[in-house]
Amino acid sequence: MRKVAKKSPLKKRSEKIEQGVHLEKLTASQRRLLEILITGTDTDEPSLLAGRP
Amino acid sequence: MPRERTPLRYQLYRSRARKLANARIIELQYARGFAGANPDLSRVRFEAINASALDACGSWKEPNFYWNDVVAWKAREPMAIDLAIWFDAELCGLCFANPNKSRQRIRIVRLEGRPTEPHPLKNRVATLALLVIEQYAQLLGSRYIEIQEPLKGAMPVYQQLGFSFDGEGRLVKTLENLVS
Repeated sequence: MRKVAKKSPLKKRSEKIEQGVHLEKLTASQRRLLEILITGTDTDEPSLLAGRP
Repeated sequence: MPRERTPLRYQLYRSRARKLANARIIELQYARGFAGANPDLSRVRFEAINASALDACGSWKEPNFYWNDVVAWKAREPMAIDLAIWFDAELCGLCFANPNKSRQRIRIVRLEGRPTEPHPLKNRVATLALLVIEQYAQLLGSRYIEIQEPLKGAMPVYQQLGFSFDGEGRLVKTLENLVS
């Protein structure tokens, strides 16, 4: 009898992730970010945004 | 029993957050159509800060940070997320964020857009970074995103992105649950 090769749990999980890309829902915040993305921010974005050099 | 904090688990989450955010903007680009849409957001890529990113930021004029530091930080902080924002082959932004131990709060430690020279994602770097960080926060179950040492000049940008100061003077954004 042929031995059945088992997939590792990690691989199964990765496949689920791939499938889930279009299925997961957006939060209101994510929707808002996508709206801002279309036009860019209202004010000019400085290059340094966070952290102290 | 608490889940084991293996580096592999967080590597998977990071990769997933970047991939999901990429899928979002590609969907957005399809929805708005490709004709005349500027910039073409389907050309945006989210990657880790790898050798290519470090090499590309080495050619930035007057960068604000020495981003090679991130290599050591990544090794030390298994839950942290690093992000390189590309437009085709052009590196437009870099970000490093780190959750606290409880994972309730993710702090954006460094965020920088390509300085001095113009680039196609000008005025979109913080938004793109936040899109990925929020996705990562959702995977971790975090409740807040905090900006560490926000620059005064960047405040209007952060306000537009939904940040405000809390009672302790920290610039934070509270994350919501999924809707619809």
